[in-house]
This record gives sequence, structure tokens and C-alpha cells, in this order.
Amino acid sequence: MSQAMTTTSRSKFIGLCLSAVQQIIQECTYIADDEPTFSSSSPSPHQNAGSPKPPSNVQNLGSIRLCGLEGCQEPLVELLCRQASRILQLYESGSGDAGPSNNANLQSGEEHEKAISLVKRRLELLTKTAYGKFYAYMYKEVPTCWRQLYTDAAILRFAVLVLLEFDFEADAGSKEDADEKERRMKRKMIVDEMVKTLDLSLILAGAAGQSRGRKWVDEAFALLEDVLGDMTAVTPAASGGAKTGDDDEQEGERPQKKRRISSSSSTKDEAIKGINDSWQNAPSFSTVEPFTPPVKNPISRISAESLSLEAFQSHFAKPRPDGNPGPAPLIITGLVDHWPALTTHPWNKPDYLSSRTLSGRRLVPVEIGRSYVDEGWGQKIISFGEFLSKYIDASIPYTPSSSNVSPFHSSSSSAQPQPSSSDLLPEKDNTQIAYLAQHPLFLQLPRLRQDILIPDLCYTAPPSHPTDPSQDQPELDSPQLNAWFGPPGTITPLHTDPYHNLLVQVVGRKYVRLYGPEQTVRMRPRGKEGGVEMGNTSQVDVGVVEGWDKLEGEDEERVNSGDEGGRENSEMGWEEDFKKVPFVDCILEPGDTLYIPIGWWHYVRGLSVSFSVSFWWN
Amino acid sequence: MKLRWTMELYATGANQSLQLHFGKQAEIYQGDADDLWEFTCVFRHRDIHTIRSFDSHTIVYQKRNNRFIAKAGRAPRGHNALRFVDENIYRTFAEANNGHVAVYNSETATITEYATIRDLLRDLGFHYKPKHVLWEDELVKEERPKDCRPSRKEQFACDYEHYHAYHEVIPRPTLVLKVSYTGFPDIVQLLAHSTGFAALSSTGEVYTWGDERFVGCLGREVSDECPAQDPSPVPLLSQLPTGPVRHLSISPTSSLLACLTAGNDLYIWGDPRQLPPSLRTLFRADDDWHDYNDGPVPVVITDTDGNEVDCIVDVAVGTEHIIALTDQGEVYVIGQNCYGQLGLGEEIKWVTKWEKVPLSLDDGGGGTKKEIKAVAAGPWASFLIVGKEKKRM
Repeated sequence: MSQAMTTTSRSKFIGLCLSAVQQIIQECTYIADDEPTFSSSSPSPHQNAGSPKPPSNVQNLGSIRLCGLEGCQEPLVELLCRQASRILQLYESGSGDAGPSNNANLQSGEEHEKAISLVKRRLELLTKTAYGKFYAYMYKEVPTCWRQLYTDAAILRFAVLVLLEFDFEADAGSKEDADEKERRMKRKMIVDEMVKTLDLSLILAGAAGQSRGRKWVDEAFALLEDVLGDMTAVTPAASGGAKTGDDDEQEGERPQKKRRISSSSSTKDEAIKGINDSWQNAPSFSTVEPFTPPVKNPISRISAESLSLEAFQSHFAKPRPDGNPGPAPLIITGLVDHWPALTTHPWNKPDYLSSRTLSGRRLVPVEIGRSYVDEGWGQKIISFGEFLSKYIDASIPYTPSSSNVSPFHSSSSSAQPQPSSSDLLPEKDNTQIAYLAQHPLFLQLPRLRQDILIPDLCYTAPPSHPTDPSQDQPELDSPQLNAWFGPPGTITPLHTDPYHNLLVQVVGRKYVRLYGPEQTVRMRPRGKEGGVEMGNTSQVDVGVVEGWDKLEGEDEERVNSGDEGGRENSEMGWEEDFKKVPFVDCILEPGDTLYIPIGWWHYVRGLSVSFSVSFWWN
Repeated sequence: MKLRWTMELYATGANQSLQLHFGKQAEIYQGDADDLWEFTCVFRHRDIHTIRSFDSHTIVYQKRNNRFIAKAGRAPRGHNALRFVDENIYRTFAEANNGHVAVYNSETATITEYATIRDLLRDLGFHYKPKHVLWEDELVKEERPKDCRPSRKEQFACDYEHYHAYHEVIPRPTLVLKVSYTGFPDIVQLLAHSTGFAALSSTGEVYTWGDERFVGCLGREVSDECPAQDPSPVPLLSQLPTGPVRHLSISPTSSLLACLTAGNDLYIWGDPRQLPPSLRTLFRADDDWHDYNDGPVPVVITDTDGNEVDCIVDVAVGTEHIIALTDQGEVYVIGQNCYGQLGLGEEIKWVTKWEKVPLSLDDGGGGTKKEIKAVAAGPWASFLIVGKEKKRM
């Protein structure tokens, strides 16, 4: 039974990669110029006016978009195409009988290795080229084709790992000799590389592409999980018991949850039921709060039962007590009590989160530093496991596998470690705070998305910005979800968002302070900084003004927030004035939902280990 | 005895589109050709003067009449079209990594910047029609949503790690198609860096302009009088101890800009955040490049004995490497070698200190003496233009 299943998920996995490779060849061939490849002269492409018809088989592909890559320069599309063909060729020659006999020159292992490393180097070049465009263009103007080129190069790289490098048989032998150990290590490295390759395409390039893109990447991750689960499942029990070495393969998830019977949701529930009990005994995140600020002007609370959709809609029209325009903030309790994230799939258990991230292998972008306006603040992509153990809870075990995550794929053959862009952050000390903030985690990890539900309250029609219509955004098709997960002491500085927001507290506690939109001038908005408009962020550091935080370092050099700059010093007294601005505040408990109306300035501070989900809508 | 110079082009680096292969290309094409890991003679001609090396093709010009003599690799359609439309413009146009294109017209003393190469072609009266109609449809269909403020995350997207949440991005062609700047009568060099341009006048004045997010690449203050997007002089470069700037070297895919003074000193400026660690050390020796100042800094090359190498006569910048030529005919390199662009062999992945490239250009005996005339760089490749002194009997 399990043998059969192994074969199925494995062949599905291989099939998925093969079909992507073939699809890329097909699409690129269509786009590629009809100028003969590598003809060295004749700069007159426009003269051949007749554009080629799509290949006949393309018609059958129906909805496939052929032109996703067309904005990229043709030589790059050709290059991508050649790598795809090469992968197919190498796969066929490698799998023996299937290959054409004229590949004799590839039979030797060394040639094969060399060919693989050349393909990888070419794909890396494509990735680098596309990545270069990501920052050369203004953020909103990066042409989609470059994001697709990055994604397709990542998909091909993943295909290289699956089709040409991954040893599916590694667990078949139960011998624990050095050879076997080495194979396990190698396989672990390849799996890490697979995860890194695809996660970077999700995080950096948004996995763009119509015919593959995010859908393909999600499917690949699901199948990878199946394959890994199956591989550990078929390991004989005896050998499983013999596994004691710490450098040993920590392959799958723990036994009771490693088997995902199927990726279809109908059977998932069954699988989940079987594991419910185990989570109850698993350890939870620490609830320690190093500092708890006082709540001075509590926001009113209402139980979800007594807040119908209509009641919420009418809340928008209800005048605020102080007579200012727009609705008031509101805490809704019990709105999310039924969420799996708070019940059967407890997000407050590190083990559960680990199980949903390929044993912590999946990569996430985190912000390093206390607050995004601080000097030395930066962003970094690390594995979820590293994030948990290094920044959330040191007691969570984690063995770093590929600690240095570079946006580029480092060539596995290189003896020297590649310097990577993650060195960009000065590792001054390891007491730095990391915050998984404002990340669309649920697009990246669809399985976590299933643990939460979009509150019905997001299907209301909220009012537009009470004072500044220029803030209003085009209507969103569906609420925008973001994850906010971090250790105690994370700070989101005082700012406004151009959407209405339901901030749901799932794990731990957060302090939130809100100032009305009519106070915008007194919030001391920033201006343009370094070529980017920062008008939605205040110069004021609420924690410093309140005396909760000290500025890092006393000397003038390490100024931490804009309100200490020379310009501001001349306007003495702003701090006293700021302290007089009316505000409301609260501490969100697990299960609480805070409604933040559009335009409200808010300061958010994690008190304990805290995981919140925000829903933006309009 | 009469001397006759014959010239050779040596190349090393990425060859993914056979841009280092000047022979009959179809013949050697089998799968992918490997990169060149050491300087190799790839082309010979009576007169080799200028190398223009792009992402996937290389073009060689001779000195006489600036005439085109050879091309290797595959050029994108836009390039082919522009070469066909106006060879002169093609020889001098600059294309930044963000697609912007700039050309200089000395008769009108005007620098003109276009949003894309297509806009330039259109301005030249050439309707650059994409091959596939579907694409055109897509372009037309792109909507222009009203100006929306970037989220906080986006504002920092250009900093540090560059990850973006792309699901929320709508294509937004907000660029002005064409902008002209007049009053530049004597521009001798117009080059692109990844997010903008730099120009050099005959008197040694350097002008920079481009994306304000990467202010380091401008090498100057940004103010209301000197906005980022307008060509403005770099004051620090107009009062250098060894005379005015005589040469600029910039790569359209790099955020590092370099120049040489009349006295052969090398200066660089740029945005270290966008550079590999091996090049960041150029900005600050103590590795704390975070405090880099936004102005040009002098670069000192030292040889293996720690002696300062004087007189850098030529310099070229690639995406992640720099190559410099001294008056002693020695070639120094620094940066990444992932595709062989440093010419130091396959084992070296990068060098963080200037390294002299071991070269053996003389083809043994015959009394021929070779001299490196100039260096050039592509995004992932380096070139040497070598003159050969041949005794005529």
C-alpha cells in the first residue's frame, strides 16, 4: 500500500517537473525570434514581417498564456528554452533506456555532472538578470515578464534538482554505514535547495506566470511534502530506531503527522482529526511579557454575538464620541473562537507551525531591528525554523542547514561559500529582534491559510477616508491578508494605512495605540526619505515619548528616530504637544479582533510572543 | 623598418549566448558553450578600438570612422532594430537596467532620455512592432490606476533585501516617454548605470541623474535645485587633486560607477547595498560600508607586495566586477568570478582584494611584442584590446 503510494506521489512529482519543462520549451520556442539562432550578422529583424503562427500543439493548450515572457529580451528567452531542452536531454540520457543512443558522450558521469552544473550556472545567470531588474525598476513598475523569468528559471532549477540530482531511493537501504550517511546528508541538502529555490521565487518574484506560476509552485510544495513523508514512511522501523546521530536525517515531520494522505481537502480533515490530540501535549510559546505598558484610554469592547453584520455596518455611520468624522475603533471579542488556528490547529504550538512549514524548512522574510524607522533596520530571508529558534524561542531546537540564504542560488559545486546578500545586515549582536511583519504568508503557505477564515465583517461596505480622499484605494477584490509574527518587543511605529483593518490576535498579546485621522498634522508625518514617500509614518517614537524605550546609545551618532534630528530640536515643545493629543489604546488578547478604521494612526507593540493576522479591506 | 599594428581581442567570462565567440556560431553550437575562465584571444583585426558588450551580445568598432567591424552573440530585437535605423545612435546610446534609454545630440547640445528603447525608435520614426500581436494587446490593456501611495514595505523595497509582495502589484506605466535636457554642448561620454545615467564633458565635468532611491549612484546631493532626475554636476569630481575627469566607466547593470582623472587616479561611487561583498570593501576598508558617504572615493590598487600601483590608464566595470589597466600594462581585477569574468580560472569564485591577472599574451618567439591598449567589460565578461607589434621584413 505505502509502496504504491510512494510510487504515485513520486511519479506525480516527476511528472509535474517534466510537464513544466516541456511547457517552457513550447512557450519559449513560440516567443523566440525566427532569426536563426546565433546567426552572427544581419541586423534587420523587422524585415521579416510575417510572424510565425503558434505551433499547432499550442492551440490545444487552450488557456495557456504564451506571452508571459515576451517582454524579456529574446536572447534570454532562448537561453531559458535551451536550459529546459538540456534538462530534458539530460534526464532522458540519465534514465538510461529512455534516452536516445546518440548521447554516448554524456554517459560518463563526469560529463553528466559538468553538464548539470552548466545548466545550473545558466539558470543562475537568468535569475540574477531578472533579480537585477527588480530593484532597477520602481517597485510598481517591474514588468511582469521579469518576475516570470525569475520564476521559470527557479522552476527549471527545481526540475534539475528533482529530475537530475535527487536520489529517491536513498532510504531503501537500511544500512547505517558512512555511505548511507553521506547520501542522507546530500539528500537533505538537495531538499533544502529545492525549498529555497521555490520559496525565493514566491517571496522575491511573487511566482509570476499564468500557466505555471504560483499554482505550480504550490503544487510542487505539496508533492514534495508527500514524497518526503512517503520516503520516511517506508523506512523500516528497525532503521528508524537506529537513527540517533544528530547529523542524521530529520527528514519528515514527526511520525504522527508526516503522512498527508492526499492533497485533496476532503481527506485532509480525516488526517487532521487523527493528529488533534497530539497538539494538546505539545509545548506552547512562552507567554512571558518583559514589559507591559499601561492602558490609559481603553477602546470599547463588544462581543461578536451581539455584533451582527448590520450592527457593524451601522457602526460605520455612528458618530464618534468626540464628534470627529469617521467611525471609531472597536474591539470585537469571540469573533474568531472557532478558527482552527485557535483550536484544532494551534498556532501557539511551535511544533504545529513547524509541521506546516516542511519541518521549519520553508523560508520567510523577516524584518531585523526594533522598528522599521530605526537605523540598521533591515530585511532578511531565513528559514521558518531558524526564525522560531533564533528569534522567537531559543528552546526550540533547530539545526541550521542552509543558514546563508542568498537571493541567488549558490552553486552547490563551489567549495567556497558564496558571499550573499544576506550579509547585508550587520550582525552586531544576536539579541536583535526579528519580526515576520506585513508578509502575505498565507499566499506562500496555503495550508496555514486554511486555519483562518475571512471574518464576515470584511464583507461590509466601509466609508472612505474621513479627511483625505487621496488616501482611498481602488476597491480590493478580496481582503488582503498579512501575517505579523514576532517575539516580545516588536514595534510597528506610528503610521496609517489606506485601508480599513481587522487585526486579529491569534497568539500572545499586543499593545495598540490609536490616534484619529484628524490628528494627522500633530502626528508629525515624515516627508520623502531616500527617494521614497514616508508621509504615512510619524516621526514620533511613541515608546520613547512615553519613556518605555530608551534611545539606543546616548551619543548623537546613534540617533534612532527622526524626532531627535537637528531640525526638530529647534522646535522645542513638540513632545509636550504630542503628549496632549487624545488617543485610545488597548491590549489585544488571543482571540480579540481590533477594528482600525481607515486613516487612524496606530502604534503596535508586541508584548509577548505574538502572532496576529490583519485583514485589509475597503 | 616599418611598423604595423595588428590587434587582438582577448575575452573572459560568461558566454551563454556565444557573445564571446566571433567565429561561425552555428557550427560550434551544441547545447551551451561553456564560459571562458581565462583571457583567450577571440578576435583579430587590423584596428580594434571600442567594445560594446551587452547582456547577450558584443559589438566591436574600429577607430577609423568608428566603423562597426564585428558582432558576436544574440542581440535583442530592439537593439537589432536600432542598429538598423541609425548606426551612429546605436554606437553611443546608453540603456539602463530599468529600461530607460539616453542619447546625446551634439548639434543641439541635447541629452534625450526615453522610457524604453521602443520610445527611442518611435521618436526616430520607426514603428517597432512587436512580433506577437497578443503582447501589444496586453500593453494597450494596461490600466493606469490613480496614483496610489506605496505601502511602508514597498518604500523600503529598495533597501537591503529586495523582496516584494508582488501579488498586489498592478503594472503602471507612469514613465514619461521622452525628456530632453539642453545646454550640454560638449559631452564626450554618455553611459548608463542600473538606475540612471552619467555623462562626461570634454572639460571633465561629470553629470549624473537617475532614480533617487539609489542616491549613491548620483554621487551628489539631491536638492530642489539639483533634483535626482535632472543631469546635474557632481561637485566632488570637479576639484580632484590629479586633475579633471577624463574617462568614465559604468555598467548598465551595476550600481558602481568609476572614473579616471587626467592624472590617472581611479575614483568610484555608487550604492554598496546593491553590490556583492567583494566590491563593497572598495567603499570602506574597515568593512563598515553602511556608513558610506554618497560621494566618490579614491581607489588605491596595491600589488602583492603591498606597494601602491600608480597610474591606472583604463578601467572597466561589469555587473559585479572591475578590471583596471596600469601604465605598466598590468591588469588588475576585483569582484565576482562566478562566470569567469575575472579571468583567474574556474577555482576562484571571487576576489575581495585587487588581484593581478597572470597573462601570457606573447605567442612565444617571433619577436612580436604585444601591448594591452585598453580594457572593456560586459555585464559578466572582461575584454582586453591588445596591439601587436609586428616587424615587417
